[in-house]
Amino acid sequence: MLKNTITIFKKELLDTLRDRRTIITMVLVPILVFPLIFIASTRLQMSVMEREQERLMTIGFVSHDEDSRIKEFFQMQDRLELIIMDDEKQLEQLVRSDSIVYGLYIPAGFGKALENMEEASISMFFSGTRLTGKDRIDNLLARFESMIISERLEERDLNQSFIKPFHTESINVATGQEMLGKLAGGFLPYIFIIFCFTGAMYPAIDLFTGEKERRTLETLLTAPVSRIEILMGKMAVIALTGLVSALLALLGLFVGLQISASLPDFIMTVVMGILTVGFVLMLLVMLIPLCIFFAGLLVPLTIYAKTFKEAQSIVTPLTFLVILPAALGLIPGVEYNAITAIIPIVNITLATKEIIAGTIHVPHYLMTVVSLIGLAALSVVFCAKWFGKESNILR
Amino acid sequence: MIEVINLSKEFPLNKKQREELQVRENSLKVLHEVSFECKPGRVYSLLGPNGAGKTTTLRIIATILKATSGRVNVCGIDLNQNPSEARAKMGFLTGTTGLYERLTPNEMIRYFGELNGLEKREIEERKNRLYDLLKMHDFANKRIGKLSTGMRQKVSITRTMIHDPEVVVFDEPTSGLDVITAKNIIELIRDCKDQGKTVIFSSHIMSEVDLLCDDLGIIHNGRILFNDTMESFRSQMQTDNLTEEFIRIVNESEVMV
Repeated sequence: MLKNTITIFKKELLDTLRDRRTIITMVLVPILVFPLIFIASTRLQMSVMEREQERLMTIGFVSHDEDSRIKEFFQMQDRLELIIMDDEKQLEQLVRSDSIVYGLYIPAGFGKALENMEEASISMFFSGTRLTGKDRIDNLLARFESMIISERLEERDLNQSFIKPFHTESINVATGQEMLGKLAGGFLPYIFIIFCFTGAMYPAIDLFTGEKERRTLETLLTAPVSRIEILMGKMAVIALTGLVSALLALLGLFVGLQISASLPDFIMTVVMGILTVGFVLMLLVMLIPLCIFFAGLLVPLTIYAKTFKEAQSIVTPLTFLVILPAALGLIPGVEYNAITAIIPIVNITLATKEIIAGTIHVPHYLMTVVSLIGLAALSVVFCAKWFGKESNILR
Repeated sequence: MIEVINLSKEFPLNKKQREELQVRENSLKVLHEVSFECKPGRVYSLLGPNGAGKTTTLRIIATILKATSGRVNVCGIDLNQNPSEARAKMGFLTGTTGLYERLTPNEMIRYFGELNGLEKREIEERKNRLYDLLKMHDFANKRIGKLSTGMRQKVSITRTMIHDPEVVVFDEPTSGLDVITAKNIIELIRDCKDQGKTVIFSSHIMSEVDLLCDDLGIIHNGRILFNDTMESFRSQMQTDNLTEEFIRIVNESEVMV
């Protein structure tokens, strides 16, 4: 039995690897998607920052006050141009019509209020739909404010602690690995669960519905091999493509992180520290039964479908069924316990988070692995029954 | 040797199919106690109009379908008992047989050779012999998807014959093929007969049957209307030619129903 299964497996693997669609979904997309996203986002971020730094900012300025300190302060700033106007109504109108992005209005009595230690006020006009550069104006206003405070403290011969009586030191007791695991660790399984499924999708359609459509299944059924041998050989290829796709996506993610310059060094050190043999092995132990389960989910549907198109329309919505539990594990407060450890897909997201954080509870992990193996076995049994029915094969 | 004994086949019908066929029954009986025998060194032809039950009968013989009742023995092996062993003794070819487009003829023939339990050396020897015979060496390493219809049919023939089957089942083997490609099939059927193999082929073309067969079975609406030698068929003819006689038998059965 094993000899025939291996023969079928080898042939199906060769056939699958020569299918352009499979290569795109199984190899190219998972391996390239993250490096490309990282490169594109880093470039975009850098170019936005560069442009922002070089950009000359124009703001409208209306002052009805005699005191000119604030006006001089703004005029001293680099890459900042003040358009002096007379009327605040006109200023508001220009901001509203997008002719200028920001407007500052200094009412009469501003300087006097500062002098008398009263609360003075400034109005800033902006459009809530365009916030680029607002931080810069906020920072300049904050700098002007601290300049006034420093002057006042100096006048009274007081130091900064007069207005800042104590300092709070925050001590984070979580390690970088724990933080990464608990906060961002759910993202990792979310990725490989999706790629595991999408990577197996096309081979499943091709190896069952495709064979039906091309009328090669009939030929294979006349060979002296049992249907279970055919099923095992094909399912092994489908599960393998899912597994390879998930691993390539992970590889792509790590490569993407390495070539991306936007992450702080300490995060990169933690990320690279996660990639241990133990981590990969623990992941594989969960991924292999998951891939078999996914194959078991896809095979009956692709056996049932008459055409490639029909199979695609049946199988594609299933992706959401896979994404949903994977995303459930990302919700804060959903903990890895005896119950969630046996809920398919959710358990993988939660277990991976714990493995990354280094806080995995071994009995729960074993429950997850055993439940996944059980699920994989059940799906294989169901597929065998389904594939044995001639009404399904020759529909 | 093929023995078909009281073979019946029913297909279950779902609601949609019942509505389409305008029937109330939950199943459709497409074969009614069909019996015939195909002997080694002779060609048995199953002749019938479209939808008569030819393909269903041959698919049951090839173990693609299971009979609802009745029995088929291939080389003395009961298909219900040991379908895999029976398949090892059979070759199955249809005019619309699909091939693995992304494989080369060499890869596909090796695959089926291995599935039929042949050793590598044995596969190579037989493959080369068939390639010589069918002049296939030139395209043996090209992807099947890029081959012409004639070349593809030669690949199908080699795939069917690689394990040197004792019984060869041809389901409308020339259907949809051009004259030259169809000629290859007809020559193959003759070769099989000369080698003492048991050959059964289905057709709805009387001239093809006349050219090849020794024994004839006429099937219509899932029932065997005639089952004897070709000589006997000719001697019992009530019309001027074979095609008209075939039509007469089919029409007569319609009237009786």
